[in-house]
Amino acid sequence: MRAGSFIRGHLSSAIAAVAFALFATGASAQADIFGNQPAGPRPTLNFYGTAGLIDMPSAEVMPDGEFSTTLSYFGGVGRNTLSFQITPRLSGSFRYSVTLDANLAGFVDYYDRSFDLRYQVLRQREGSWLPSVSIGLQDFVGTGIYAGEYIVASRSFGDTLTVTGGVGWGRLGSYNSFASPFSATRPSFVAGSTGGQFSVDQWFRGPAAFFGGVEWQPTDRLGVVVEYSSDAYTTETGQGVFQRESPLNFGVTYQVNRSTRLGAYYMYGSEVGVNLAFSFNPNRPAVPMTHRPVPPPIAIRPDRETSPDLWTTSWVEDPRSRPGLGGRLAEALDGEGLDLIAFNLQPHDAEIRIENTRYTAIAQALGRAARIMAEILPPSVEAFQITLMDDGLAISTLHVRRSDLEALEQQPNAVEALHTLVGLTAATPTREDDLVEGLYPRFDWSLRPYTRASYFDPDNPILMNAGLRLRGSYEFRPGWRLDGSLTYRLAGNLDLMRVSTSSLPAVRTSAGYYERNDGVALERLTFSHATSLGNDFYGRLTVGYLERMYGGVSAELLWHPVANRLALGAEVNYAMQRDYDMGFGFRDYSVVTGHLSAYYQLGDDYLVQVDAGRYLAGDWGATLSIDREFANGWRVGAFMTLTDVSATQFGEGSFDKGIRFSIPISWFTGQPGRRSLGTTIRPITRDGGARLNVPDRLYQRVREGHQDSLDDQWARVWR
Amino acid sequence: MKHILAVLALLTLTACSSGEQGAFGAAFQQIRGSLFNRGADETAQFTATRASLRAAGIERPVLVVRAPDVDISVGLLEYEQTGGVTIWRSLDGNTVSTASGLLRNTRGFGTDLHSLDTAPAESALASGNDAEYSRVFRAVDGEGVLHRARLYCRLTQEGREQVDVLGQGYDSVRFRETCRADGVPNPIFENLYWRGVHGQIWKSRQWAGPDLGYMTLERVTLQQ
Repeated sequence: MRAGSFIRGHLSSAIAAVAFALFATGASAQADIFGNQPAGPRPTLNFYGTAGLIDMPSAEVMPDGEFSTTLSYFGGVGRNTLSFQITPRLSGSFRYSVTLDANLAGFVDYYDRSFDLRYQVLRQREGSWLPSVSIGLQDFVGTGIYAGEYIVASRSFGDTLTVTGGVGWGRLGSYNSFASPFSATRPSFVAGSTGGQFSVDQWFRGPAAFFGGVEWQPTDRLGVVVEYSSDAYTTETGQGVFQRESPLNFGVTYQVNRSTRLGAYYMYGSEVGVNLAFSFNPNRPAVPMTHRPVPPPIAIRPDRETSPDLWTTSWVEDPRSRPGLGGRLAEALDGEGLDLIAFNLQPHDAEIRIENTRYTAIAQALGRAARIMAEILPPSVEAFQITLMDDGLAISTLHVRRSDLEALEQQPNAVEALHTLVGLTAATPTREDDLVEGLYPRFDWSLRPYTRASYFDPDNPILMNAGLRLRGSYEFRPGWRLDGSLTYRLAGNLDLMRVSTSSLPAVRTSAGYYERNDGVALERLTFSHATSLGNDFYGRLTVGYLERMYGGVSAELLWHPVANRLALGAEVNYAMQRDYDMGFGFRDYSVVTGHLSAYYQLGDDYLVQVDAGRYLAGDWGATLSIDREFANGWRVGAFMTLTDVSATQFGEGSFDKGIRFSIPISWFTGQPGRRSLGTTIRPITRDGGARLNVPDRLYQRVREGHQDSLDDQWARVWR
Repeated sequence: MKHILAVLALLTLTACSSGEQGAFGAAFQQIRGSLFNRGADETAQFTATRASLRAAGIERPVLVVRAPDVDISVGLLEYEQTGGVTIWRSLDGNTVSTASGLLRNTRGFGTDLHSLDTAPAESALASGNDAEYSRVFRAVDGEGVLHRARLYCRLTQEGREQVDVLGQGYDSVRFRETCRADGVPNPIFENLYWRGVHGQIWKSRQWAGPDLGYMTLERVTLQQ
């Protein structure tokens, strides 16, 4: 039964969100650095999962970066919404909704996915009578069931009261409309249409109507809301989903903890509604970073005037120095989760090459490494160079003077002062003579649980597999690697995934077939080489079983100067589709695919990426991605791909698009860590605009050690 | 360098004798404090006396730090002096740094005090007169980004007072320092300092950021 499965879907996401919310305690919005709370009432999330009243929007915004998931239900209408405050004024939402017993387009229960955008054009200021004003587009891609636009004003009075009034179009202009101010004609909702086109022709067209309401928050936790809704629910009442007896809605909301808010409502004179909202913010870690154990204070060298003999450089000539100091460095670095790969010791300067396996912040890894050098190296060594490597690929070198470390550690401005004194350069290739003796070949493995999920299947909104993943790697020399990954499914229902028909080669719609084998699956088996080519160029070559569905050959070239916001890349692949059993065999489909890519770091917070080229189905086009990247590693983004495949050929959704997010585990635990948690959500997976998933692409690996990423978390260099 | 080695030797000794509860072990148990078991384990509070510290052979000064908002009370050993800053260190490696008795930073106490500059307040206190000056407060937010804020402070002398530090009385003058920030109606903090006749801050109550709240710092000197 569909309703049952939707509710199950609802339930499992509710359980995940509750588990997520349990981490959070206390009740606070976004305090300033003195711990003071912002003034005014706290904005709350409505039935559409955006800042608002009950079923109507308001002009408020959530705190910058707020990431929320809202589950709401009334009268046969259920909505799951993921919202993100993209900038202080711009927010976006993705929604998966159901209308039970709607009997539309051949479906008993009608499922739909929708995207919203909202921009606050005016913000209420202290001492001014002007309210906040926002403009919003609801379900703005396609003639969706929730399509509507609005202009709304909200004004708060004191810390408890907010009054909202606005004008709506589309769905939000359907009850008691007063006129069609801009244009009388508006295409109507077509159930089951392909959708996916930006419906510019309908925005702010057709009849408009007023809506409004009042929200009162007598205490920090409690809220009371009354609203007048301009949504006539024409489709729903027409199909007998529920009876709309009144435009008035009433509700009570309660803030359970800092991330969870519950609401109970009496809706449209006939229905009881509930709303459950979970809000998280990159700036509000579930557990604050404690940085324990604390590193010992920087070791200060003995005074040169009083102990000149300790400053001798004769240690360099002693053949025992290199192995002795190298061993101590390696051991101490290992204690910090840093692998010593190579080192070079000179009378006055020393270089170490390390791989960071622990710290979320590169600056912290480099800082800890510098402390260890100050602890262990003879006093005559003044210049430290620390080269960051990633799986054998040398990325960048930090140059820091030992006397600066000694002088600055206890200074109040130590963070900023050290930043002006260090230098970062592109790394030179690793010299054979510097390698730690006996380190290569290196073997590494891990056995961990995994989960894989598929969303929005019409019959099963959430499908999931869980099992074990065995990974192994064998590194012959720095940058020459063999990587493998096997999975074993323990439980799950992904085999129920629907395989839809396609007018293109089934390059991704066939994914369901790959989920139907029970035993061991070979996810990846590759031989690869990555290296710095000098002059800010990096190269990679990968051969083998690249991903679950494809094998082949992949070559990549990246240009990325160490302090440059712009990077350019080129990748070309020959990909062969693998057998459904995920063994060693291939199917009868192969393609040459590849892209030219431009990456640009926009301000401190955004990464814009454009990839233009040929996709898996042989279609030509380009992908635009924009990610908001937080200093602590949170990333939330969206992407869209347009190719020469027509909307009809593409099928439902018209073109490939989606959202993605990634949250570092350290945000949950307060402990440093390199792993993160996240997913990519596509409303629908089709064959147009599909890219090959090549493992270990260069850009993310290289930028990690570059200036922007170092600057982002520089505040942790002393921690 | 020599005293660092002495402290390190002491620390190592404790580590070795932790099972047998010798004189060292007992004394270190008393100053161990409770950075990890906040409030849960009452025995982890600072309970040492001057006599028990001396009996343990501790000669360097000890800083007794109590942060009631986060249930911390711990004795820190003087570890190092560098460029006018004294670093005090607990047995588990957490530190507090002070300059002329003024709190500069904490490390390992949870959401730490990143830094509060001390130079203007140091010279104001040294002069012994009422004064006005500014201090810079730095904090790292939940995202890991450093923020700076300037605080506008007023120091006032509040008269002579006998202050007790671990059973020993000192003649002192009490100072109150009130610091405000632009756009914030209430003071950010009000610190208290008890300054001895030779300028030594024997006891103080100092703000350590919004998470740790106020800390009382008491300086215990053990050498005769």
